[in-house]
Order: sequence, then structure tokens, then C-alpha cells
Amino acid sequence: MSVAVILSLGTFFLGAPAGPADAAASASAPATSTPEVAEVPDEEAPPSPHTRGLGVDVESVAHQAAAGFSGDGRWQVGASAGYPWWGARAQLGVGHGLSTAVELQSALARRWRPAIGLTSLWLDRPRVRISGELLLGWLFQVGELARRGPNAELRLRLALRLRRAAPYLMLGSQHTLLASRTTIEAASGTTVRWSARGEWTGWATLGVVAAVSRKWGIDLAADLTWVDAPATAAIPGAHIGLVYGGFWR
Amino acid sequence: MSRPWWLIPCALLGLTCGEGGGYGVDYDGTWIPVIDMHLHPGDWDAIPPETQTFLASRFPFPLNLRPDRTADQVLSATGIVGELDRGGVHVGVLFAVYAPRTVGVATNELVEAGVAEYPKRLLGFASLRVDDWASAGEGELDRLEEALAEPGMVGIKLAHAHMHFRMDDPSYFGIYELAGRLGKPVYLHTGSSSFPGIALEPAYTDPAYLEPAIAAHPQTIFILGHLGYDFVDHEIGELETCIELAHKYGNVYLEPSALGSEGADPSGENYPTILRRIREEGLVDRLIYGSDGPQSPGFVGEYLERTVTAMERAEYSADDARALLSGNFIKVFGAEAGQ
Repeated sequence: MSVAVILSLGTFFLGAPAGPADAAASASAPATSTPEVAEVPDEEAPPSPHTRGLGVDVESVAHQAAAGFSGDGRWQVGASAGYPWWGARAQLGVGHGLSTAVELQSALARRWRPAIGLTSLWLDRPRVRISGELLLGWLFQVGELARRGPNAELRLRLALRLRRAAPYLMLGSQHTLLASRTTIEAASGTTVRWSARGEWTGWATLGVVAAVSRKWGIDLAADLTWVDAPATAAIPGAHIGLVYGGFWR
Repeated sequence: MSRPWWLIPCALLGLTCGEGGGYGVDYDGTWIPVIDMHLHPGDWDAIPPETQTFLASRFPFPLNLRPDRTADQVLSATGIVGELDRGGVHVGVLFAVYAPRTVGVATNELVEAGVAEYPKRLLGFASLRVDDWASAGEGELDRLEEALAEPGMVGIKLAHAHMHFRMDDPSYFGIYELAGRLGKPVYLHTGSSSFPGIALEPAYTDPAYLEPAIAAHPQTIFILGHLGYDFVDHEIGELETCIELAHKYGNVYLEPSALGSEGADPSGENYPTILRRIREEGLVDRLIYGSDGPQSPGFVGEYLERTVTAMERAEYSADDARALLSGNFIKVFGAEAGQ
């Protein structure tokens, strides 16, 4: 990767001093305009209370995706693809520091987990957000290691707010209740015995959501998951995703 | 000239591939070629569902979600040769298996095809079905003899626990007679096994039950696979019986595959203890190396690395290491087999 590319990426994510293109845009903007307003036109959206103090009127979808949280009156949808994880998610801000989510998660189209969730924003600072999320769903896996059962996941997200990017770390603890059937075939007949066991999956995703515009964002992340730990070893993965959002009220 | 890519994993494993395109390990400053006498080719679809589940559970996530793809990559002849390359192993021996109720079927034809595809890297052990022995036994022996006539087919593989026939049942002694007549050693699985459907009673697992067959066939070489290891409880098992048989009968050889793997020996103590006992008993010249791979990607090299570590802990000399890793195999199967 060339130095020029690195510098341009740094400019994109961190908001370095304006280059020639930015200078031209600034020159055409009123003297009182902030650089953010000059660069990204307001899409006739009302301001969000969660962006006060950031110097921008409307927070981009990228920042809300990184936090896993949508402010009051906002919505977003997203889809991601990678190895081994694929996913789709929709979230809706309902006010009172809460947002709801519907999510579908899949690994290699053999392991699926649809879930609904509730996210609470625990810390909301101009540059840092911390949120907690509870998801309740159903896990089903097909193939040689078929399994199914109710699933719950707790997530903790730390998201930073840079100018046009939102690095984030998500830690998850996913629990599934599985039923095991043991069939004993003996001379006296067949006996079926049921027992329960748990499957725990530890999860860490480290990534960044880049704001393409206020409504669009691109998610790039590494996924470190330990599925069915500690019984099974796991190979790290990565995904790329797209998020899109707006206002519903 | 660039270095071959397989030098990198060899170096990472602490192994040194030989000069001039050879393979092997650097043990105590001595380069030693390696022959792995225990490898399983296979066809995923020929494995019973319970065993597929068992095997899938041993793969890391997410490879365990599509174990068929993973298995086909490593169980083909090309995949196995790739594993040999990664592990620094020069020659591997493919086993045919006929255990439809347990570990599945890998036909003689499959093994023959692999050996024909890589005649300088692979040898083969043939096997036969025993589940309808009373009516089909004669025909199975004929088929076995035909398979052993194929190029590179150097021995016979049996696993009483997997194939469900007693070690001391004289009905099957014709297999050992054939082996002796053809000069083809017989490899026998001894000890328990964690595969589903295994016959775990002593008559199927305890090498003591092999003594009548060994005594009755002095011209036949018996290789006691896994040294009677207890794979269920991860204990040393019937090692002393194997040692006793090797002392008593000159046609008994010992093979330490699988027992030193991370899963079978979680503490890492059993494998060096076993190798040390064999050295103390003066039986290193009966020990033939095998891994029981490929199992999962990287296993062949990993097992060799664990063997080197176990030999060091058991205070094996370079000569001892050479005998285990290739010398005894060449002695038993002939120099041509080790080339």
C-alpha cells in the first residue's frame, strides 16, 4: 500500500486538514458554515438529540451501526457477508435510551440464529459510546452436528466516533440450551433418554464502520468467535457489510 | 532459486526437511528420514452417519459445519501427500478399511489408486470384509490376495474392534496364513477406541487375545497398532501385554500411532512414558512409526512433532529415533519400500 493511499485513508477516517477538493467546497460555502455542513449536505433531516456537541446536525448511520444503537426516531438496516459469518440486522430507535433490533446470523448457511433484541445506551459521550444489548432467539444448525434450541446473547459494544468512521469492539456471550437424546437399544427393548446441555459461544468483533454518507456506511471487521467453547477450537473470520438508515418519525 | 513452500511449515514445526528435496527431521543433529505407516484415505459418503458426526466434532469451527469438504480435501491421495509435505514425511502408507458399522469403508481399490497416483510417496495395506465370513470368507481371502498382488500393496490392515471379530477366533486365521505365505505383514488395531459402535470387550481390544494367532504363525509379522492404548479413558492400557508379546515372539512389532495426539494424551505424559518403557525393555528395534492421520489438516506434521518431543523426553538416541521413524519400517518391508 502506497504512502499516498495510507494518507488518503487517514484523511477519510480522521478528518485531516482539507485538501484541494475540500478547499473548493469550503470556498463555495458561507463563511459561517462548519466543514461538516459544507461537505455533507443536510438531507432535510431533523437533528438528533444524540449528536449534540459533536458539531454535526445529524449523526451518520455509520456511527449508530457501530454502537448497535439507533437514536429516537431513527432506523437502519444492514447486511454483511464474510467467512464464516453472514448476517442481516434492522434496528429502530424507540427513545428513552433504547432501541430494538431484529437480527439473522448465519455461518456457512449451516448455522442460523434469528433473534430479537433490545439495546440500551449506557454511555453517550461526544467521542465514545458504550451500549449493552440482549438478544433472544433460536439457534438451529443442520448437517453432521445438527442442533437446535433457544438462544440468548449479551453484547457489550464500545464505539468511537471519529469524523467519518466509527471503530468498534463488540464482545458477546451467547448461550444456547440444547436437548440431547440418547437411544439405548438393548435386548429388552429400546430406551430413549433426554438430557439438557448448554452451548456457549464467546464472541469478539473488532471493526470499523466507515460513513459513505449520512445514510450509508460500510462495515469492515474481524470476527473472533469460539463456538461451543471449550469443546471446539475455532478459526477467526472477517466480514464486510453495508448499512443504510433514516428517520421514521 | 526460491525455497520450496513446505520448508516454511517444516521450520515452524522445528523439523528440517532434508537436502536435495528429501524429507525428515533433525534429531539431535542427525537428519532422519520419516515414513508414516498409518494413514487413512477415505470417501466421506462411505462413512456411517454416527462416525461422520464424531469426525465432524473433531474439526475446528467453521470447518466442522462442512466436514465433508474438509475431509475430502485431506482424505484424497493428493490431500494426504500434501499433508506429508507439510509434515516433512517422505513416505506414507494408506490403509484400506472395511468396517461398515463403525469407521466406514475405504476400499482396496481406493488405496491402490492412491498408490498408483503417487508411487514414490505412497504404499498401501489391503483389507477385507469379515462380516459374512462363514459364507464369504473364501472369496474375501481371494480378493485380498489379488489386492496384495498390486504394485505398492505391502501389508494387511485389520481392526478387530472396528470389524467386530474376535482376536482369538481361529476361523479367521486364514488371513494370517495368507500373510505369511505372501510375506505381507499384518497391522492390527489393539486397544479401545472412541469411535461409535466399537466392540470394546477384551477379546476385540486386548492384544493378549492375539497370542494364539501369533504363536501359530511364526512366519507372519504382526504389528500391534496403538500398543493396546485405552483411547476411551486416555490411559496406557495394555502396553505391558504388547511388550510381553514382543519379547516372546520375534514376529511381533509395535506401532505407537494416535496415542500421543493431543486428544488421546491430554497431559502429554503417556506418550513419552510409553516410548521410555519400550526403550528400557530393549524393544526400540521393533518400533515402527505411524500417525493415524490425516484426521484433520496439519495432524500428520503435528503428530511427528509430538513424537520427536516424546523421543527426546524418553531419552532416545539418534539411532533409536532413526529406527523408529524409518529404519525398522525399511527392515520389515524392504529397502525398496522405503525409497
